[in-house]
Amino acid sequence: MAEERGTHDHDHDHDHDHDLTFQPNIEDTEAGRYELMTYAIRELLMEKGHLTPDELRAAQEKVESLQHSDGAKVIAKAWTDVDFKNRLLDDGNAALAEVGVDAGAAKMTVVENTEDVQNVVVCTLCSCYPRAVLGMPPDWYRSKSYRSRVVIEPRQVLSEFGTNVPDDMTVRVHDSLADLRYLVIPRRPEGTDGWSEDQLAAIVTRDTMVGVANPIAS
Amino acid sequence: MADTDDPRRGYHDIGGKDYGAIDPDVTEMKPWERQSTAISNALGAAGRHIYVTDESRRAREQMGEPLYSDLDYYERSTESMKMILVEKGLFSEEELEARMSEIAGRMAEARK
Repeated sequence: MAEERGTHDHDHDHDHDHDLTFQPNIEDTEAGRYELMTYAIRELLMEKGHLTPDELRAAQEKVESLQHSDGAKVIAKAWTDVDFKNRLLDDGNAALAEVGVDAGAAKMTVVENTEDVQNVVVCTLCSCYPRAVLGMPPDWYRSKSYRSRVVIEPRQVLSEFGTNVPDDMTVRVHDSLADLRYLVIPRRPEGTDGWSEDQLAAIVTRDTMVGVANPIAS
Repeated sequence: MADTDDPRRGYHDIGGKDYGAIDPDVTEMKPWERQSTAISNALGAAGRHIYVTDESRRAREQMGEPLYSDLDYYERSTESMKMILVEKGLFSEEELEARMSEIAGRMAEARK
C-alpha cells in the first residue's frame, strides 16, 4: 500500500518530521475510533523512538506479502516430493525453512488429509492462524460462529462450506493456540498425474489448507 | 471475567457454543487494519519483544466481555496493543486520547 501524504499547514510546537506525523489517506467517511487509535499509536511510538519509519514500512511490506499462494506452493511440493512431505509432517517449521518460509516462533504442525481422515483447523480462543503460509485469516475464520461451532458439529459446518464428508470418514478438528498453528495438506485430487508443481499449486486454495474444502482438478 | 452460564470459561472461550450461521463473505483488509497489524508485528519482532503474542492474548482475555463482544477482530487487536503499551508506560491513555483528537481534527481539516 502506498501512503499518500498530503500537505498541512498548521503550526507545531516541535520539530516537524513528516515521517512521524503522516497524513493518512483521506476517505469520505470519518475515521473510526480504532483507526484513529492506530494512527495515534504510530505517531507516539515514533516520537518516543520505539518505532522507526523504516521498521514500520518493512513490517507493512511483510504483512502485504503474506499470501496463501506461499502455502499452495508448499503443498504442491509436498504432493510431488514424498520426502519433503514427510519432513513437513515431522517438523513443520524446519521443512518450511528449507523452502524459505519463516514460520515464526509458534510451532507449525502439519497434518495430512487421507481417504479416511479430513482435518479441519480452528482457533476457538481467538483466531490464531498460520499467517506465514496463508496470509491473514478470512472473516469467517475469525467469526464467533465458526470458532464456536466447528468443534461440536464439524460435519454440519463443512457442509455449509459445500464440503460433504462421508459418514465413514473421520473428521479431526485441530484447535490452535498462540504457540501452536496448523496447516492441512489436502488430498491430491484424481486426474492430476503429471501436473507440474505450478499447475498443482493453482488448485490449492486457502480453504483447502484450513480443511473446510478440498481441491478439485480443473 | 467468567461466562455467567459456565464459571469454568472465560468469555473468549467459545468452543462448543452456538453463534449461528457462518457468513462466508471475505472482506479486504483496510489500510488502517494493515497498519495496526504491522505496528504490532514490528514491536514483536525478534530483538524487540516490546509486545509479544502472549501479551496480546492476555490483553484480549483481560479487556472485559462488553468490550470484547463489541469490537471486531482488528479493533480488538488494536485495543489489546494499546492496553499493553499503556501498561508498559510507553504512553498514557490521556496522551493517546489527546493525539487521537488531534489526528481527527487534522483529517477533518484535510477533508474540507
